[in-house]
Amino acid sequence: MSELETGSATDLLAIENLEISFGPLAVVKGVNLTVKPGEVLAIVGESGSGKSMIGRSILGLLPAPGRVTAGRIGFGEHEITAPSSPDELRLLRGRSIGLIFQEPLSSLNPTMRIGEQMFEAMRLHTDLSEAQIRERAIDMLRQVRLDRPEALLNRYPHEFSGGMRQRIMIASVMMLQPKLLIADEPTTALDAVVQREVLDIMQDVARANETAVILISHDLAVVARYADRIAVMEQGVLVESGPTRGVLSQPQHAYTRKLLSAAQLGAPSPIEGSSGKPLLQVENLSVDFSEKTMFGLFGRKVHHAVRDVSLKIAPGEFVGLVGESGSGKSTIGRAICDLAPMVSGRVIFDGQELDRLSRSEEQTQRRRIRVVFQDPFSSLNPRMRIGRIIREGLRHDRSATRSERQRAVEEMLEAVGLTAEMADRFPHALSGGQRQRVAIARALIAKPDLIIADEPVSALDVTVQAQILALFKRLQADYGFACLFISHDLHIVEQLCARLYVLHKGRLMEEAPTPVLFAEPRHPYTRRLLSASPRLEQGKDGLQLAETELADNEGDTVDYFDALRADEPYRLVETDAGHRVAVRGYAEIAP
Amino acid sequence: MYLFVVRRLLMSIPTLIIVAVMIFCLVRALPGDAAIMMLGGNIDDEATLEMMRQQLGLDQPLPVQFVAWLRELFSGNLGISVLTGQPVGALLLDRFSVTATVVLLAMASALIVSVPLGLLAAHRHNSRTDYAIVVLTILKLSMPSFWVGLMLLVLFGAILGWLPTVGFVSLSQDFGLGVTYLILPVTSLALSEIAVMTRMMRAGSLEVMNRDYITHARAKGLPERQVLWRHVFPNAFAPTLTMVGIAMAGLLAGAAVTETVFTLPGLGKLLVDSIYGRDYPVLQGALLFIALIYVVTNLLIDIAYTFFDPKVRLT
Repeated sequence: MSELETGSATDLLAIENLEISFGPLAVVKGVNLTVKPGEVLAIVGESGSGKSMIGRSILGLLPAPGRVTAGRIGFGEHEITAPSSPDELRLLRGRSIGLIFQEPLSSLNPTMRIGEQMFEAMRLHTDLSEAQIRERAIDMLRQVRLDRPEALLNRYPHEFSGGMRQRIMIASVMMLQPKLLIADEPTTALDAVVQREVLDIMQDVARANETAVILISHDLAVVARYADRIAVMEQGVLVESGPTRGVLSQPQHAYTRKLLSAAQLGAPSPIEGSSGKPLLQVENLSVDFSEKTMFGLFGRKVHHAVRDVSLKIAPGEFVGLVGESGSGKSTIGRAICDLAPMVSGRVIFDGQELDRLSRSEEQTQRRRIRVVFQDPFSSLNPRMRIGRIIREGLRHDRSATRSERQRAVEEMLEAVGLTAEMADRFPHALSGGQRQRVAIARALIAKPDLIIADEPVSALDVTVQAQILALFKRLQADYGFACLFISHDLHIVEQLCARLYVLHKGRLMEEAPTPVLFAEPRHPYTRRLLSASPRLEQGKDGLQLAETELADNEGDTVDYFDALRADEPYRLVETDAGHRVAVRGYAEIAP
Repeated sequence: MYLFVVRRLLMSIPTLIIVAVMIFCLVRALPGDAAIMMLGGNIDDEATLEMMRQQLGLDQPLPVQFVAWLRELFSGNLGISVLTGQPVGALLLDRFSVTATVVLLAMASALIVSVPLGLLAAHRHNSRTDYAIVVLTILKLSMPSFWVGLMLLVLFGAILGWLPTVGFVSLSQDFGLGVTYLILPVTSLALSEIAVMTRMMRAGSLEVMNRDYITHARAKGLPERQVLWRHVFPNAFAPTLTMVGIAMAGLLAGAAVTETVFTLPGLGKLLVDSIYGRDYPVLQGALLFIALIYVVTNLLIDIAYTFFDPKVRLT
């Protein structure tokens, strides 16, 4: 620990020597922390570091069989670890200490209207009349910048996007004006633009109410922007804590330095492909999803998921496809593999249009394309052993003998940095990073020419992300495959991809070689994406938060295409070699 | 919603016609001759037999018989029972009212008991209360329901003599007496359903209790009772509801075993009797009626679902 924290009379929250155990296993060991009124403290660590458990224990809501086995938590006058009555703790919850969760999709009750969920805590903790409560709720929804709040109250959670639900959550928790807000990975499930928006809103609302915040996160770069102090956790132990600037510029503990270096991701090393004939060409691809309305008798509601997208990938090239959730980036990947229905367009692989081939030829070609999915927890069959999962990638190859396959599996396991013994294990015995390695091994065993990687590192911890990216790089050097790398995180694709496509609402907004896109982004949407992803950079006095504050673009009077006005005429124009930008109608860009 | 109901009912017409064809064919495929049964079994006199067949329309070719039956069906006439001479429609309604009374009462009491019991077991997960509830339900599940029925009869009817053992008195005839006849069959049916439904409710609640929104409800400071009833129950009840629907349709279509044990004049007993008696009109009518029960029960369950899951839209 860099500095010993001692409790003082002004502390809002004092955690002393806290130990939390699940049965015989201690997950939090001897942690000391304090929070002053109005302060923002970030607790940072990888999954399993015990950071969430600290947050839960402050509310007395540890999941069973977790228990506080030693130490104390004091909140103002109250002893949370030794309440005088069971109701003392319950009445603190909500009124004095608020909690916001990571997963906005599961933290609101799906069967209850938004309004009702907001009102019930108010009824419990205040003496306001129904009309006053309603007014407060509407006012609060306005503060989190939601439009037409009156109408929202009568709707159900599933009618909102993740970002909106998280704002509703903030509104419903902050409505009670708690003194302390515990935000447990509040934006991890959201993409960069929305994440920035939600955190800004949370900060504004907390400041307005003078609420102290404990921000729990695995992402140092994200919390660094908002925190006054940072506490770093490793395997249940608080290894370092101090003011944000100090922790970033002069980290004391080796683990902090490791986290910091993972957050920087190092210098990009794009993987260029060979010139000549492209390996994959997608021409004017469109995908619609339709929803039946009124018994299917009166037409359908059509949602254009992908509109008129063209892209190409050279052999051995890494190409990034970037956009927020719902932009259609995954749908493009799926359409290339024939997993989503194309309305129009052509997919040309190695000079052959896949849809025109005979069935058996098409299958032969398609086997040269493999997929790695985002969530390694659901993309591996939990009832199959690792060896069998990887071997399935070879199922089509009848010529291989049993022992040849076995050898291939073992080789592949070692190639992705696992050991051959792991073939006998089941997926649940592996960590997230190990599972993703298995998913990569399954894709690579058939020596494909193209891998479609759909957010392959988004579900992983920052330090693991860096490892998986390094693995991709090494494997590409060994096997020479090309890759369509789909991600919402510009800094991740920057690491490996030679060229980037930026997608918004199903349409391409910009396409450019990676360094060009970062140096001279043209389209307003690209610029917004770039400024929304904070990263740490090496400054003159050690590490500091690098905000990609882009120079004002006021001189740029080009009439860019706005994806929110989807039906306006759309055109991609080339500004430089390989740099194309979406403009409206017949607008021109001087090169 | 109104449109939905109309549309679903219209959609059920083809289902019912297909069922009608299948019923007709199956019934004709049964071994035995209705005319012989009518005349009391051993008949050597070909002429009398032939006359009987003519009277029942059995001498006609099968398609003709089917069309005649359908025509009668659409005019609301299900025919006359061969055995008793009663109109089939009235007979079915009469018997169904008995089954429906028993089944609905049993289901209602089962729900009232098992929903709180399942929630309680989940709330006290891995405690003695939870173990006791689990053990008791398993015990009940492993006992055949007719045996439990018989034991109830032996204990309360024969040994203690508190309740009647044989027969049935309609509630509209004599309410007080009617209730005494209902207690044992309703209890017997309810016990089986309680065992299944408590387990469903417990499993459903346990799953829901791990969700973030339940922790969030607690983090608001809500008392545990409110967390359970307002947040856990509506989310945990949907799977139980599906099961209730399936069980209910099955039981309404004739709780034959229970009805036999308690000698209740219900639909299940009518069906069994009509099979033994080669009572084609009753058999056909009863089977068709049962198909209708399934259609209607499923419709009701689908409607009930919308109250528990706002994502379900009736379209």
